Amino acid sequence: MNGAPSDQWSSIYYIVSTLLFFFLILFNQRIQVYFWLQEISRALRRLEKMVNDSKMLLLRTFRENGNNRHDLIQKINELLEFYVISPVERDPFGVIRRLEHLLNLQKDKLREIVTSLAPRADDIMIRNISNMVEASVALNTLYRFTRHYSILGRKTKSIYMIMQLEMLLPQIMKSAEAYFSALKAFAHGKPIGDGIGALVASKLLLQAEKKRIEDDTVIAEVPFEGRRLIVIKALGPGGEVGRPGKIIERIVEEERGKVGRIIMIDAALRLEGEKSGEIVEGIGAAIGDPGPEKLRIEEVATRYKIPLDSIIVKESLEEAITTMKKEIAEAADLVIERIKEIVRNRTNIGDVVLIAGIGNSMGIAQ
Amino acid sequence: MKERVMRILLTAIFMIIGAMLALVTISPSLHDMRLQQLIIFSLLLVFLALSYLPKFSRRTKPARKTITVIRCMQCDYKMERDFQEGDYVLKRMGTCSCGGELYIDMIYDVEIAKPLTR
Ligand SMILES: [Zn+2]
Repeated sequence: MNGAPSDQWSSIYYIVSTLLFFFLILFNQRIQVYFWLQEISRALRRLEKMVNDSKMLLLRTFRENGNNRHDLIQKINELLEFYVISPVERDPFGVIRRLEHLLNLQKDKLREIVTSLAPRADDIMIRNISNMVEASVALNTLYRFTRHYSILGRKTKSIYMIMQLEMLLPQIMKSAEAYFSALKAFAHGKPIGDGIGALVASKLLLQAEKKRIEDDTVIAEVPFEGRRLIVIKALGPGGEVGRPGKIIERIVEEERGKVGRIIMIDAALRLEGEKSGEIVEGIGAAIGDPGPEKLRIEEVATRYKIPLDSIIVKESLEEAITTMKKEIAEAADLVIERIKEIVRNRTNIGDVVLIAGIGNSMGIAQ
Repeated sequence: MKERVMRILLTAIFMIIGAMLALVTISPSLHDMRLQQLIIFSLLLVFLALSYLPKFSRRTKPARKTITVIRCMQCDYKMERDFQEGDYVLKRMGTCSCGGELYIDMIYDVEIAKPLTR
């Protein structure tokens, strides 16, 4: 009785299934691409919102610091496209010197623009706003590149381009979120994770009497168990990284090379699965600049055969550019203990020991 | 949002087709060789449907607040309070009851403890 209709149905099912099967074989990739594109446009919208919010934050900051211009938003748009053309590397002779020159120019130019856009801002505020602008530029660049490849992928219908972008999205979004939260930390002038070196130096400088300031960097001498500790850090409490390489070079020259040891403290990128605030000791110039400062330190240490120690505190990129976390701040006292240990055990009484706290000094004075 | 709806719709369609096919294959009238094929195919559809399911990964960031730690240069006095605009490390904060100078020792972020009920 029910044999015939059921058989009929099953053959219809069979045909439908077979058709569907081939449909999926043929179109599965397109369905996948469709989903990828949807994901990309969602990420793009999120990026766009972050860029707009960052512009609004800059706008408000400039207004609060005495800017009443009507074309301010245009100026900000222009500022977010700020770029530096990297030096020619094909002819490597003197490339670091050329890079150093460009980096100095970038810093000066940025500060000049910020000063003109925020006429009532004090020196600390100008440094903080410059940091905000840098974070906004980074965020905007991420947005522009994501948009570029998204449009290009749609235009060329290249599955590989779309796939690549989609695969990179988690990383792109993670960096973008980091820059965006950094912006908010900068607006309040709170210390950031990258400032751990500066924090250690400031703790050492607490009792120091005479301080001198050169090239946005603070230099002070602290006596410790018969040694002369010369502590350097970037000038705070505005967001500033100073010129530690140049200053270390200068001090070593001033001491005619008679420096017992150089100890550098910096934040270093931790790998996934490692603990934030972990302290590790090593050898070499612990500084994450594009090259010039590091080169100067290595050169001068090599020239005078000065041992170069470094102590790093591990943290993620996001932690490095957002408000300092408790576990990182608490590492500072432990780092100081390590420094004292090194000075006691590996230097002689009467030695000059250079201690450089590397990092952004936002919210950290001296 | 549109994308989520699409995904769920596609998943649902495949699920239903797969389930119907599974039903047909276990009906007593089918005894021929198509049975095996149909079982395999319906399973395939269910798996395919699962592969289209949206990734439910909404991670929420814990709330944070910034703490300023104030210390005395001479005694063990230590005080913690919320961050205020204008605070910075080593800022002088007046004198302690012991006569020593007060200063900001650290400024850091902490996670605010989550309420127990969720
Ligand atoms: Zn006291």
